Amino acid sequence: MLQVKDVSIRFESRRGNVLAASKVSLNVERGEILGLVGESGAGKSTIGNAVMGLLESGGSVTNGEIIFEGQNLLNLDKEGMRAMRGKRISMIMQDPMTALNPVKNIADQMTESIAYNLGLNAKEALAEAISWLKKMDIPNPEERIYHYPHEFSGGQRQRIVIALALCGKPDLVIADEPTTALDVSVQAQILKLIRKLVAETNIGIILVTHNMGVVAEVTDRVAIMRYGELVEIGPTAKILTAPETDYAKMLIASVPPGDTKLHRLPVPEADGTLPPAQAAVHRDFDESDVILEARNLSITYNPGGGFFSKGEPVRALQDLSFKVPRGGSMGLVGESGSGKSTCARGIIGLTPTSGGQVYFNGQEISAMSEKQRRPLRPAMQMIFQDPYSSLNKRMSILDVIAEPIRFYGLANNATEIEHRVVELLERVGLNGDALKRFPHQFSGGQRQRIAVARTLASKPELIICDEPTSALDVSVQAAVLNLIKDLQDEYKLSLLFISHDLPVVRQMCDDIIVLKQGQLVEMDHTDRIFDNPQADYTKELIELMPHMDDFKTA
Amino acid sequence: MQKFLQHNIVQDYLRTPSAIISSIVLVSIIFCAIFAGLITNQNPFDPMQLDLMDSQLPPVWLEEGDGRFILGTDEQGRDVLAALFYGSRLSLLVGLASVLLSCFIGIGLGLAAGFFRGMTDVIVTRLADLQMTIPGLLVALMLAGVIKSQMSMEMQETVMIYVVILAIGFSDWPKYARVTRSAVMIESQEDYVLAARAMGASPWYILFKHVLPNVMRSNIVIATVGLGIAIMLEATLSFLGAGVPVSTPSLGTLIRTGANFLFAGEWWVVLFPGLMLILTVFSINILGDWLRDAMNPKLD
Repeated sequence: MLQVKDVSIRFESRRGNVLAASKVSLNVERGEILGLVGESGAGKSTIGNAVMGLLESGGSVTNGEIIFEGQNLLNLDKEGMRAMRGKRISMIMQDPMTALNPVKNIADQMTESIAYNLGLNAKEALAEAISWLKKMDIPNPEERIYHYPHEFSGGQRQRIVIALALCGKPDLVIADEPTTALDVSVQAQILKLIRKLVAETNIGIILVTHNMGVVAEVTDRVAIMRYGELVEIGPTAKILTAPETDYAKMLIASVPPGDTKLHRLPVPEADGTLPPAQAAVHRDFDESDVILEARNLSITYNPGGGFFSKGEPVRALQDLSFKVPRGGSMGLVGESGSGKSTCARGIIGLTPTSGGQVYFNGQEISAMSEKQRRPLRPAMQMIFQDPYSSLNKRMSILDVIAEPIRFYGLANNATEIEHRVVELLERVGLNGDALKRFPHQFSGGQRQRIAVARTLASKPELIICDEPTSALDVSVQAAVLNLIKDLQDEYKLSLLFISHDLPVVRQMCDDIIVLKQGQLVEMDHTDRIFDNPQADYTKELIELMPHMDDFKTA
Repeated sequence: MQKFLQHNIVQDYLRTPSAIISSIVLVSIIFCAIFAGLITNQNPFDPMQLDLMDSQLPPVWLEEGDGRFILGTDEQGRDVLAALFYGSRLSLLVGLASVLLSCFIGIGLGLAAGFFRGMTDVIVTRLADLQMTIPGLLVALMLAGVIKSQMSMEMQETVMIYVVILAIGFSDWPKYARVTRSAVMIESQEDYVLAARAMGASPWYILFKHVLPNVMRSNIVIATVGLGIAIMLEATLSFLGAGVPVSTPSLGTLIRTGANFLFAGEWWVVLFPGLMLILTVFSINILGDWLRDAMNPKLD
């Protein structure tokens, strides 16, 4: 139905020209879901936008043709392309929070599109819109259709976005990361819904994603892209089980498996070969040597009441107790709003605690003043989620990493500091050349390494990792996770590891705490949580995480 | 040097003709203004150097023009070109000083409001709102009026220039305060601020070491545009007679005195200061425009 032939796309900007895609060829048939995967900068979204005729300004197709039902879309004028969009080809955007117009109710937004694309009158269009909401499992659609976007939850909004994309009865839908902004349980529902719609309406879908789990779950065929080029294309089962190119092999091996714990994730050696995956060895600790303990920890927020009004307090964390043994790693798992990040911030003192105690090396830190706490600070450090945001962009790498050394007075003079910083950079896999450079000159993975080096600068005993790899590409994630594990072994670090990504937690942690809406659901050893979960919620979470295993064992 | 040339902004500059031209114009104006004493053969505001015999000469390319006075002279035999350079010096000085003053007040209050929020924020924001309701021109006129009525002529000569700087500086600070306040609020949400807090850093440390360097960029951009506005405001005040005194004229004063001769046929006395003002402000604005695009962090 859709054929993309030898398409090259170039972007011109005041910073020079970039070739975003070069000679990409792929095709989509009716009733098929084609996964378009790749890491950031691979050009996957660009291809999707080019098919829609919605390239960002400065971008142009310099070569090739895009043939949709026998017609080359590149030859259409603006008018012709507009007639295509919505009616024949439509798009599902990534972020359900911004894809809907906040000042119009759902009825307005849907009937507008339906009336225009299907040539119906207002009344018929409304009936059609309601039937779409029904299909999307939105409860009580006759009434809900008059609600505004902010009155729906994130998952419902994404379903409305999908309904909006489909209500013009297009033949082809481009879904650009449709579930990336959503929690796993919602993601699972959305993917199921997309699968069902393809079967029912016989449309074709291009699913742009970076998530191999999503690919495994719903796609029929996969195209893997890298640096704007198509690396490999073929049936999903074949690509996932027997990829041919080195890059595809590497990409698939980098995905943390949810079913076993590996010693290290396979990352290609310098010569490009992949080491075989090894099962993790069981690590033993002295359980009585506790580095961090929380007793009945509670955190209540007051979400900034205005000048004249008082906000309702939110109980973000309730009565949580746990112990982290020295050298061990504890995982904190939950969906958004579960209180896992709040817990971390409460422990390190970024958020005031409202009840219970936190002990670090046997001393109660939750009741300490900043001054009392100061001598203990170097031993407890934190790695943040987003390396684009956690490094000050106006500071050189030397200053970034040296900051804790200077702040805690851990070195005597400038040469000593520089020496120590170079040592740290080398330890995290970068070299001394980085010293004088600035954060924006590094990739996301390199930045996260720099952030890791900064936390190591004060020789900590405990590191709190708040989703340290969720902003990174999967192959980079594998390397950073391995680095954290190596460092943990080398310096006998204890970890409090926060993540929503269950397979990652399985790789990193000895014990796991599952949280839901600020309350403890289950706490146990990692393998027992995954192999034999007790609580229904844990079972559901594990059930819902996208599985690649089906293909792996096949 | 190699590194400097590879820097994004330098690269961008070398690719933007309008930025190159306007900066060359501006640098020449500044050069002439600073070295006015060296490149002109007359100090037009030293009565000893004036000769009434040379008065009312037209520019050199007209019939009665004199080679010593390229742009002609006024009715006191003052060289218009020399007056132009001396006048620009004062205009630029007042503009720069008042922009620095606005920046200092605005950035300081903006930092406090954005970082400490709460009451500080409410007070600063309301002050800024209040300030915005009073036109800077009126404040300056009022200040100048009061001072003129209270001071002797000699005192006025030395004091007026500071009064103008204060008047313009105080009328323009809300702009910087608002930009700084919102930039601080955005930056405070960034993880690097959290990282510094997790390290145990005090608010002051975070404010000056981390937040301030990150909000300077937007302030530099609006300060450039602000400089053009300040120079215009000074010219307006001087034109209205509330600015710097005639004995040490700025471009605005020159236009004011020159306007009297416009209908007497001596158009050059007013035209050239006017053109100079336009050229100065225009190149500053073009440069500011380019800076805004070039410093847009999204394009990094």
